[in-house]
Amino acid sequence: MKNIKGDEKRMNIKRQIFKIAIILAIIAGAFLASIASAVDPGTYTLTVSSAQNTALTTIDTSFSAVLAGNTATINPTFNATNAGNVEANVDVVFVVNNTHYGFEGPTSNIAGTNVDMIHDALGWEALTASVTDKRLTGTIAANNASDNFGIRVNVPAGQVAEAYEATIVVTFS
Amino acid sequence: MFENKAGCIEIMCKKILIINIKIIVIGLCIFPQIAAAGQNTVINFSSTNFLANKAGTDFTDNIITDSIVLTNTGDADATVSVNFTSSYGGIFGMVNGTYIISASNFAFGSTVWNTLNDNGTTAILSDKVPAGYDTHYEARIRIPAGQPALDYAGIIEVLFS
Repeated sequence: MKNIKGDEKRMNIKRQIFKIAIILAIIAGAFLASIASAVDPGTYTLTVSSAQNTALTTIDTSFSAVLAGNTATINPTFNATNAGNVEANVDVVFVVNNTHYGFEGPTSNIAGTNVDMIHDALGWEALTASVTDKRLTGTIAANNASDNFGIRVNVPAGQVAEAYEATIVVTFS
Repeated sequence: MFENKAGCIEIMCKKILIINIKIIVIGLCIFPQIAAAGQNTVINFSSTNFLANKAGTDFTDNIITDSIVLTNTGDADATVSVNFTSSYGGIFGMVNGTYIISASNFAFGSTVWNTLNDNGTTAILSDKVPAGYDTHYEARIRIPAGQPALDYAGIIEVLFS
């Protein structure tokens, strides 16, 4: 009778310890699971296009005063950097303003054919006095190549003394 | 003698019962301290496809808004760690054959954008997922200048803790 009671007590203790062990195991499992879980959300995709990606940075656009019959130069006037993966062509044209394509003053104008541009020291090339773009010689290479451009105006003899202004559009393609 | 022995046995039994009670009390103390606190985060992704774009474009030019949504139903904030598993030549990122856009050109975030690591190790995002909330994450990519015109794919792994 005494032995039976003792056995029951020991069995009760073992059962309690076993229950606690199971609870602790569950808690530990839940705890570990809450610490970290890895997930693969899938695959990201991207298509890089085949294109030039050129940006222009203006450096200087103000000519100093010049006498009629003389030339004024700004070199460089702007810089262009091509971050794309193909080389870029450069086209330049004057913006249409009062139907004149060139420098315009209050009473007269200087035609675009009197204006030259130079790309990367490849030689001076005259612009047009129309809506037609002038494609400059040479391209801007890909992969962050950076080229300088200059501008020169030949003021015709007898040109009216006044302030002239012009806007050009540079297109990269 | 018999009664004395019996008395001793009864006393021992009481001691055993007291020990039992102590064990149960310890068990009750451990349970709320360990199991109550923890993040419980699941992931849902709505878009993983960037639009085609040029080489030399920046993070702000290539954005997937709501790329992934993380939901934390736990009662602790979740820290989010991300790494690429796709690689070439020991550099991890978006790949096409031997060409790669390295992971440092790829950023994740909700309010703060963290770039991933080129060596494949996890990058811990600044934006945690608060307990009981959803957090929407953007994916951004910067395409290096001169990057060859190809289709790139990359696999990322997200870890919550």
